[in-house]
Amino acid sequence: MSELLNELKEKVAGVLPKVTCFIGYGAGFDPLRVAPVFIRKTEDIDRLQWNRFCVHNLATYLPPHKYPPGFLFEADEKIGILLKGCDSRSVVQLLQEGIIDRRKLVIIGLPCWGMIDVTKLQGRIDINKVNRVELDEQTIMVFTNQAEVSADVSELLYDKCKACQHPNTLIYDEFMGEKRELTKDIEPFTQVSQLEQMGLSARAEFWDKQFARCIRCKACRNVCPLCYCQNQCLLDTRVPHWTKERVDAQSNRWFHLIRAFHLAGRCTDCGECARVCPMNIPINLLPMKMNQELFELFNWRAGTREGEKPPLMSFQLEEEKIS
Amino acid sequence: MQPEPRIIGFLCHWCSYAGADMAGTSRMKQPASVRIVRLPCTGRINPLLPLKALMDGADGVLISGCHPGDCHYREGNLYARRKLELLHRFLPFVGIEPKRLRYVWVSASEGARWQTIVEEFTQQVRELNQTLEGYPSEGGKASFSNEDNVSSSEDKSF
Amino acid sequence: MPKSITQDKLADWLNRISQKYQLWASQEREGISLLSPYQPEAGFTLERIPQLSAKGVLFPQSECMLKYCYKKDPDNPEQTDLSLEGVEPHLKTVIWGIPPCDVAGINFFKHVFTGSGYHDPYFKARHSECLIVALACQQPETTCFCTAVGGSPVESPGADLLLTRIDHEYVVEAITPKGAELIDEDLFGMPEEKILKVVEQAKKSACKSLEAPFKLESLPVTADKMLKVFESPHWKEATRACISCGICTFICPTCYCFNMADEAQGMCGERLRCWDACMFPGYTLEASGHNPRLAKFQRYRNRLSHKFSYLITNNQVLGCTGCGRCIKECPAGIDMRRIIAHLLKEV
Repeated sequence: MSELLNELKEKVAGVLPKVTCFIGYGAGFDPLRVAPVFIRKTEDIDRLQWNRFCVHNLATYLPPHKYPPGFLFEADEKIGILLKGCDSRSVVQLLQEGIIDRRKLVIIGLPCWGMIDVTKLQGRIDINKVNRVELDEQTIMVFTNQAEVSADVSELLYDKCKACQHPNTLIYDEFMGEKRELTKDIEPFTQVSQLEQMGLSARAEFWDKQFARCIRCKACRNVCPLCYCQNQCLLDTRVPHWTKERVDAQSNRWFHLIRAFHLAGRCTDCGECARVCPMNIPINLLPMKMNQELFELFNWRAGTREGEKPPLMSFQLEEEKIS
Repeated sequence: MQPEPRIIGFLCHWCSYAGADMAGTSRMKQPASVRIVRLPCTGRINPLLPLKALMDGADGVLISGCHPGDCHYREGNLYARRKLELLHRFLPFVGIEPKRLRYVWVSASEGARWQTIVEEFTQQVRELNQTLEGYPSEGGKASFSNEDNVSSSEDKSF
Repeated sequence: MPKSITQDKLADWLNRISQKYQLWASQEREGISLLSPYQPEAGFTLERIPQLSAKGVLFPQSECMLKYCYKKDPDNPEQTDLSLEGVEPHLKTVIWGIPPCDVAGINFFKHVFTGSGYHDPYFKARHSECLIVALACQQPETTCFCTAVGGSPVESPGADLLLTRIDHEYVVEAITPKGAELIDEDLFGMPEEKILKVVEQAKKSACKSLEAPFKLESLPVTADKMLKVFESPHWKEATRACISCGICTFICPTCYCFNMADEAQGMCGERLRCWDACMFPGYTLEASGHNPRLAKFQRYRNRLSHKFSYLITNNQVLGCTGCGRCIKECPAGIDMRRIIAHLLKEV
């Protein structure tokens, strides 16, 4: 980890003359979290971090539609960015949709061994009182003033990391470290199939309970790198009147279904929507279900193959798998 | 007696609407369960339209367009086929019975085919209504009612 | 005199309260602690600060203000009658086991909604019938900073009862006579003298464990300083990572902005008052299409300036209780403590 961090700092120092800003990870408010940082000066390079908590998908800052020129970056700025394998899928998808310009992007890639979901420590220790963390490849030790706990890193990984299909950055200008090989085949959609073991009514009830908690903070939408309509979003307008202002299970369900359908065939499974949800709603499962079906129907996995045409933007006169 | 199911039909103007019209002018008898929305082409159907119909209280949604290859706009229904198939496969994931949605191809001359489809689909929805398993809108009734909404807001957690 | 209750009798106490009042207590759900209407079978938790502040009990996220119905006269189709029905909440409520920072949030709402000027009847009706049982916070979280904004983790002015936990016992202090009525004699005992001493000690150490990330001078001076840094480039620098979601505003105990909407189906509908968030670009979007706060740093600056400056000038109250939720839950890891500290150093 620390060797990679040193290499990253060297790489960024090399990249920085070519770009005006480099997006990476820096310290968060406690030892368990990191936060995105925007490096513009050489002396800021030391703020960079790379550890097992760097889960944020930094690609969300790239679409200019999301952050109009002048408000985050200027129109002509060239940006450097650190991308994990899963995050690079979002960038491939954005390129495919013609949203970002590859020439204005310098990507540093690296192998990723999975990120730690700190909420999985909750129950063993109060994660909001942690003041020290010791971390090596296999184990994590977490300390508060009153208690300490050690855990196996592999148990604490995000579900998306446990089902990781792309541990290495897919497109990059510079790659650091050695590429990680996947040792075994992992079913990418296990979370979906677990839910599908329920009956139809039980599943409806499950979602009702989840959606009843939603407070419509719209963090799931705003954090999504593929949700870049910003002010034109269907969920923000009352003309047409798709969503009700009332926040209850039913209109929340509608809210999330609209979002899921707008991500059909575009979602790159980064799981950010579920991570940021303050009410712990596994909202990433809706687009993930679509991804599963699209994989089955059209062998499509968004953001994995540059230049391919998305299935919902094309057709065949005789469809193989649709009767 | 159970009321007739409420089915929303989304029909393309060029083939299926004319086909349904044909069934009517030929005096073919069919259940009066389908309320038809005419659209220029099935390619215009945003999957959210049938979904909204289902969630706001429709018992079923029937979508019909030109046969593949016969689209007035050449390819609208071919895009629609992919989108609707995805919708159909997605519905059960959020607890909605997929049999409440059906998409078919009916040409302008197939009045008899339209009649059979409406009969079959209505019967299918009738049977589904017996159990209300996988009913799209809460409690087996149309979704909007002020009283329900007020009570549900009181139960909201913080 | 303080009373005490053992942990195993808390459920009995809650059951009794819930028979006379609508009772809100924290429930453990899907890994988070949520303030919910109390149900005996669902239990309760006092382990963590609730995910959302208690403001939603007195200021619901979507509140029906009135219902309306148009009715056509069958004999005279040109004639349409409108019937209106007001909704006035009158519920005796108890909010149980919330931290002092959330009580401070409710005190803040009192200032804004029933202080000088307009009195909001909906809030007033709910608040006047509401009793608050606070729980002293003895092990503050890493994001807590109530002492920096004039609060205390262990004192709770504005609450009716204050609980302090010592092992398996809760020492209960009645702050108001209405609160004292909640104490049923047969469930409560007299705490030993030494327990009371332990309580004092625990309270002191809780206050000590909180480090102030910044130091505010008097409120008017703070208000003035925050105005002076309005043009500071730090606003833009510090909020680059912001994703403009509404988490910080919705979980905040003092954010009170709302929007009104009529929701109709057919001839009938309701008028709603719903939470709004100044972090959404649509919040200041004008009908012309112009948006005076289009950039996210402008919106963020407005949010903090409102809390640390405008509210002091207009309502003589600070708009932050130091609960730390906005730091803990921010998807982009923005720490408002650091921003305030940095800005206050600039002047």
